[in-house]
Amino acid sequence: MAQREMTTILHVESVHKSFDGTKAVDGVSFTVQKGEIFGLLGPNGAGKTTLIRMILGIFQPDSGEIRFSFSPDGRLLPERVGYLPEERGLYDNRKVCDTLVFLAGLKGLDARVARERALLWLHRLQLEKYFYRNIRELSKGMQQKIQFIAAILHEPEFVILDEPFAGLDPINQDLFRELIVELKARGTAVLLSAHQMHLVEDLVDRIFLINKGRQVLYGELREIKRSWREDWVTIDFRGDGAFLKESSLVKSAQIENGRAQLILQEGVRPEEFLAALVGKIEIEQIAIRKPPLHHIFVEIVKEQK
Amino acid sequence: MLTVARWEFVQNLKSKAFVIATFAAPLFSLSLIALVIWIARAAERDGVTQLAVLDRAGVFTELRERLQGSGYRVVLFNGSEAELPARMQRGEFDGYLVIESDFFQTRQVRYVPKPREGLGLNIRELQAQGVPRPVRDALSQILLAHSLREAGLPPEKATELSQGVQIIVQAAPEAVTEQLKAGITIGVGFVIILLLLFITMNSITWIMYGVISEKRNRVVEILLSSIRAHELMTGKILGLGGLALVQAFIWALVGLTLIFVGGPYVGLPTSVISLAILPFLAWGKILLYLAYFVLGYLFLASLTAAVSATLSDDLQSASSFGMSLVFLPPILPIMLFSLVLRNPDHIALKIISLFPPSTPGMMILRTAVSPVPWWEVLLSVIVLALATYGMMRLAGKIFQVGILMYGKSPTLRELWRWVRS
Repeated sequence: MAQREMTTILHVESVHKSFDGTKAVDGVSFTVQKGEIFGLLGPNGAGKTTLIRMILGIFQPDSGEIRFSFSPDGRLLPERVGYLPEERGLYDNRKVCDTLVFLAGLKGLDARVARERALLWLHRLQLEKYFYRNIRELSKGMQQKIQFIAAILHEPEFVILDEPFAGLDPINQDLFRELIVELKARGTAVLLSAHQMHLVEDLVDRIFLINKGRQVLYGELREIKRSWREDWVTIDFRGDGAFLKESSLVKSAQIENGRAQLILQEGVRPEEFLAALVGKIEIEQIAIRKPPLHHIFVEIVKEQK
Repeated sequence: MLTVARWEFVQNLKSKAFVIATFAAPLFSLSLIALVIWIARAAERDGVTQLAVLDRAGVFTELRERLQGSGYRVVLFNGSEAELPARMQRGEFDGYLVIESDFFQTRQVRYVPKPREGLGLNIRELQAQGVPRPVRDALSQILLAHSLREAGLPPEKATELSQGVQIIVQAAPEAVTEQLKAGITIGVGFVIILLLLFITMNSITWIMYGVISEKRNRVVEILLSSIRAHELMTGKILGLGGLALVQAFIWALVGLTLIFVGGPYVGLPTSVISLAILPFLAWGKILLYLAYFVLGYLFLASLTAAVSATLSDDLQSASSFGMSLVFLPPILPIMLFSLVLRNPDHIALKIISLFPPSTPGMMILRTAVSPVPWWEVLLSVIVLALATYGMMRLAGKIFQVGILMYGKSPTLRELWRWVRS
């Protein structure tokens, strides 16, 4: 942990923000580390975008503190941060190259360097022939790629991607995943915001789950899952599986056509359960795993109510 | 901020809309003016009115000579009088005279002008209407010469004595030139206001469309992650203001070239115009006008940016009530032009002079028409400067919140809360 602390890039400490008496963000604290993919997850309207706008200095928090480690006084340095907003859009009557150079110029990047890098990126994403084209000639998916390039062209140390997979087809979703993993490998801190948790579950290192402006869960995703009380089991089998429903180890069961989907009782170890199966059914395949993040989120929100 | 200013300047400079607005639109209106002048000239050129003369008194030759250079030409008609109306209707001539053999006794001729057709704006037809004065004068002279000959004078003497008065048109004396100059000076003041107003209006229209479209296409989200909202606003105002200046410069250059190079060909008094422009070239006046313009522009531009940011994000609302509030006050002085001419010190005009969005136009107009007390000028500049400062701060706050609000326009109460926060 000590080593982690050294590379913290963003501190968010007890941040509050209200609009017209409604608490949008209510006492949120977390940190983002260099070289990690940090998931800011929660349903629509949970306060994610407000939080992001405060991190970017577009809004000021009512109370609390947001500090960046790359400036001595903790101030945001826009040229070291990249942002892909959830609300997508580009100038429709401007050229791709002009737009990219302009947006990078706002981040202090020299026009010549920006052009060179933009060309490299367009080449990489097979868009190089659109360099001098008008943006309105591009498809939606191509425009999303341009926006992604705009967010990272100045090689920021910290990138905020708000719902990066929204509106992408599966092929481009995979491409974006690949690009995000690359950013991480280069040491960039990536803050990934999403409401569809299954899309980012296998991508993020640590998560902050937010609902109605408040923390639901915060920590390392693997740790959160490991410590989750129940396991989910799927078994394809031959034989009579009726006993599974009565088993004291099983909390709930659905059995149909030789497939059983079970949730184990809290605290039951997988090997304990496996031992109970021996000799009763013939197992074709079996999978024991922790439930998806979405389920964990829903359960915790239910409990908090 | 400068990056934004440069971006707005360069991108809009390259845009088709700018090229059209700068070159094609004025070119179009200029060619319209040229066309009107050309038509008028052409009409003048073949504006000689042709009259047929049924001469039973034997005066045709003399009449023709006396009408030379008068704009009327006479042709002798040898047929019967009954044919005349039909041939006139066919357009062979614009009217006809019947001179009976007892002309010298009765001292009468009959004249029938061609009835007017359509709108009746044909110059020749117009000239043919009523009693054609040169024809009357010529006939009177013929009668006089005839009487003088009858009285025993030699024919040459009689012809000489019967000549009418000739009026020689001369250039106007000094006083008239002065009056003309004063008139043109007011005209130049008016043109300067029009030009400044054009710059301002053009530029704030660009600001409005720019803000609304950035809000609509959500680019503003990316922009605000790089620069503060007020920097974005100021950058836009500066960039597009500079662009409007370029446009105005082009127009002024083309306009002056046309006046001084092409002007003499269409009979413009260019020497008087240059005398009239001279008073505007004093440093004091240039600086004063520049101050009015810059302050007035910043005032209107920031007001526009703020109003545009609060409009819901579709271009339709650009034509809404809110925008007409921005556009109306600056053109107020133009609407009150005739009042300024008649009574530049009217109390209502003094009040309007201190109403910030109208100040620049009204003050430039008033100082062009007549001297304005120095304290009034100073007061108007101070009031305008303070109002502009306040407006820019206010607009910055409204812009900042409004630009990220999608879908609905704020109520007045919400606006008030943004301003206070």
